[in-house]
Amino acid sequence: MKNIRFFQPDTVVHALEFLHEHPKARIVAGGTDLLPEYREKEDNAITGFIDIMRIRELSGISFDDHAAHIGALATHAMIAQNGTLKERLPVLSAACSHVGSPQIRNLGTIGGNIITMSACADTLPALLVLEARMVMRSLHQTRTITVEEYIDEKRKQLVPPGEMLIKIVCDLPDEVPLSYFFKLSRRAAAAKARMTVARTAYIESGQVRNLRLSVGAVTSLALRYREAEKLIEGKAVTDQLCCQAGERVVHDMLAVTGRRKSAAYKIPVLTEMVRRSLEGLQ
Amino acid sequence: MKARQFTAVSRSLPRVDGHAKVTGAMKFGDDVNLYRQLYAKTVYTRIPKGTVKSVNIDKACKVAGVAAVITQKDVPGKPITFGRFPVIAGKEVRYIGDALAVVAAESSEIAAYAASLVEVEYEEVGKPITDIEEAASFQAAQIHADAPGNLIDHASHHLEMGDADTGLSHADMIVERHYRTGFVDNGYIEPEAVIAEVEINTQTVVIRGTIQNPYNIRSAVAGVLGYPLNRIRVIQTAIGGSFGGKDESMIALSCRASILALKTGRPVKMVFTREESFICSPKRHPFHSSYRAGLAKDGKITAIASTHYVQGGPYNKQAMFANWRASIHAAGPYRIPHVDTNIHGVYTNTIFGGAYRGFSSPQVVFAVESLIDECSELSGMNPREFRMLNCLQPWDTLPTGQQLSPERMPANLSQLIEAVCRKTSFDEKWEQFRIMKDNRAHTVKRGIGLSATFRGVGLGGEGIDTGSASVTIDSDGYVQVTSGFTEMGQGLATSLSQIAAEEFGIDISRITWNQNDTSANMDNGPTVASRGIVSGGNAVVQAARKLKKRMAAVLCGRLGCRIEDVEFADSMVRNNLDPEKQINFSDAAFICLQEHGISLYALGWHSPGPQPLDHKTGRGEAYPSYLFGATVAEIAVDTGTGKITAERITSAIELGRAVNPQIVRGQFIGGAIQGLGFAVMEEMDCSDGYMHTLNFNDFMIPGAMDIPEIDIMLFETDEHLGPYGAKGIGEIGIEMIAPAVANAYANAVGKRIRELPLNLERALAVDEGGEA
Repeated sequence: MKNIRFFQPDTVVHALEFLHEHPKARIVAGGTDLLPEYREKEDNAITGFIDIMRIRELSGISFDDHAAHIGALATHAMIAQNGTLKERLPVLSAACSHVGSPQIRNLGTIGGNIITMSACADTLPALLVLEARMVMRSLHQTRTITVEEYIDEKRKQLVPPGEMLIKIVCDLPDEVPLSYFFKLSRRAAAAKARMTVARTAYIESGQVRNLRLSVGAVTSLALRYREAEKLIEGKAVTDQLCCQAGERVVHDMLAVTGRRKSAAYKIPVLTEMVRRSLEGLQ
Repeated sequence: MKARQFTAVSRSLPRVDGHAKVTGAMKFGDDVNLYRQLYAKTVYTRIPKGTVKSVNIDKACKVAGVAAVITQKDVPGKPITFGRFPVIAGKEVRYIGDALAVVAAESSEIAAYAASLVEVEYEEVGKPITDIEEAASFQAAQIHADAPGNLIDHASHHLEMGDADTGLSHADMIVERHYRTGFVDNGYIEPEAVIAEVEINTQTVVIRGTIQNPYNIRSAVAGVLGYPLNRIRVIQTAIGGSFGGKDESMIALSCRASILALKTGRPVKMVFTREESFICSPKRHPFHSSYRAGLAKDGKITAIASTHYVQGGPYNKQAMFANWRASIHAAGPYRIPHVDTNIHGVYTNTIFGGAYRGFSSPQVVFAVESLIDECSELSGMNPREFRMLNCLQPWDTLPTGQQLSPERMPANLSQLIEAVCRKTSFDEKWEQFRIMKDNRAHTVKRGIGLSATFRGVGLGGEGIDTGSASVTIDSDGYVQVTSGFTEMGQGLATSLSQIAAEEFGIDISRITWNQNDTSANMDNGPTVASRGIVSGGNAVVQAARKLKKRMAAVLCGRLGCRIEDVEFADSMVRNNLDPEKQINFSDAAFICLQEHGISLYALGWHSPGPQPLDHKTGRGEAYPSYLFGATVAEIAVDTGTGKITAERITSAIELGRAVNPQIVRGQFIGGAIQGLGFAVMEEMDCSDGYMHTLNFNDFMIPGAMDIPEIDIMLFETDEHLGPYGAKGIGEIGIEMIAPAVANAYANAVGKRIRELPLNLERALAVDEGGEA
């Protein structure tokens, strides 16, 4: 039988040291995705677990004048229930409140949701429109990278080894943007997303400013749709523009995935969901 | 009987097992542990169809902590149990759940590791046959050498009344439609668990587990071990859901654990993972149903002819029974002069069909009630009017020739249809939503749908229906009830305790219900077909009445009255003509036992005998009675996403008597929720012979947030059959939901989906004109 190393450090440094020695070990930050994966794949290559749940410095949510600092171990429940986040970053709050079931939200963490990076991760579209930053640390350096850049590294398999997510930093603009989050699933709760749309924007004298639009669960990794954003930026929203933006998103989505069997469903529904995310800006 | 005042029945008393269940104290299958027990794991085939060239267990045997590894040659008796199912397969594998070896070890981890070391050499022989059309086609390879056409033994049934061709030729319009359903799991939360041990003193194999039907398990294990029945003892543990499912899978587990217990001399425990449970337990049989209905100009149905092909999987124990039930109900609760029904089961190299609540009714009721709705549309009538015009009435004749005589069966279906429609303002909403569907301003449409049903009570012609109960009054006047039926969450322990309390005129707190044990009670067949209350309840009544008669004979002298004037009420035994003369029940028991030496143990045995039915011609009485029901579903359809949300379910049920109204409602609601899952989300993928739906994140069942308000109207009647008129409510709740939802969908968007589930893709594609 397989021997699995299990390490439960109290500090980030200890965790990083262990990770350095055992690069194939996996970090447990809630474990709600990792443990089912470990159980399902009989021949998985996992040789060890680093349970970071005891590292206090990773768990809090704090604020400074300009930003929210969300520890990698902040659970979805903590984020969804935090009054300040609800008020200042409603799109993130909504995303976390849609994750799984109460049990999953109590155990699952935002760090875990990002790093696992499943196609249908509920928080990623929200973090993309917030242009959230990730503070990553390895034994010898600390770097800050946007979630979007990290997704890109992940796609290109360029994520450096031995790194650990410490916290997420989200800017807190003086004015809270108009926010939209919608998750489509086969069941009302405790369900994987079939499609997720997140959107933030401002309206200044009838015109859309700083529109950000992201869709999850239709591509292997969540994406921002900048061409669709540009289509609307600076304009007054009309029904026609909403539909055009939907079509643009579908076009860009297909450019990534190609036409699969599921496209017959995804094309009309994605068009419609993007349209709905924008119609409120009229 | 109407004027009768009940003291214990007809009341929503708390469940006798409620406290232990809500506090978590209840012991379920996996909670049972025995000294020095081993843990066993099954080695499954890696391919769904092929020849096994060799099974090498050498490496597995050498693992430290392994006590035994068995293959087919270690099966002491017959290696085949239900419906051709091999306890451990030999030369041939026919589906992905076939076992090739079983390992017993000191821990489940060691057992699983050793199981992974068993080496099997296969030869693939052709592609697995995975769907009904393929299995039934001329060119199809035979899955069993002696089953030509891949037809399941005894599962073809034909029912005919009048002449369907004549009926269709007299019609002004013929409506031809096809409906399909797929595999659906029972979806119980507790996976199967069993522990088997050899009781040394009696050389009896004792099996404890999450067993729905202990006598089925006893026969199967006896066959596999080559033992007589009296040396197998099956004791049921508490069950965390079964719905028909914990039977075939429990046979497999119990047989394997028993062989290993005999071989090692130690208790052997086996617990399924969820994945094993999904692969190895029976599913609702998929149906492909083709209907032709004849419609006259006045809206009357002249004939219904239907053919159904049912997917059985590689081995099948239930298709013969489930198909027969389907054949009786396939034309629905309507007065149709000409009926022709043909049904067949086919073998496939997939997961297998079996019992799941409703037992073929969810499939045929979906088909026929969708068809009836389509006929009403084509007749230009609303669905209520059309059903009212055509539905069964008292004195009508069923396709078997059985008459619905009102003194035996009330058959008040039209009253139920009117009641649900009135309660929901069906006509107004149906008309309003029909107009609204064309309004492009709303992407979310609303719909309302109706369905009606009738349901044969008990086994009927499926097999001999029997019920046993033993009742013991102890010398302190407290009572033990032991039934041959099992409690599996449906509330039978409480309902039968209430019946005993009612008969003796004592409080339910004096009754103890004993868990089923095959060595303590006679074999009265399985706990299925919603028959626990009728056959089990009648047996309790009979045993109690035997005891009352014996006690009255002893006590009538003291009470100064005739035997027939002795009354049992208010925890007293009294002279009915002079109520001052009375003895409390406890003293009465003591006197009978200790002073007169009278036995206060009695066996109740209920059997209506064989149904008056000719199986060759299908003529006669299919079931001793029928329940009736009508349901309205109100839904919202998001036409932009295909998402269907159930908003409200309203049902009216004629059930005879509700022994415990709260339990009856619970049974109905539970069934309705499973019916909703069947309607909109539950599906399993075994389309290439491999199982792709292995856990509850893929097999979606409704959660609390998906459940709409469910409103149930109970119509009580005086029935001839069960105790105080009760008829059994376990299954009727599940079968009306899918057709009501599908009909509501058609009302909302104007197009029909004829295949379940109405998932996002289907609901959207139809709306877009894609797959109508």
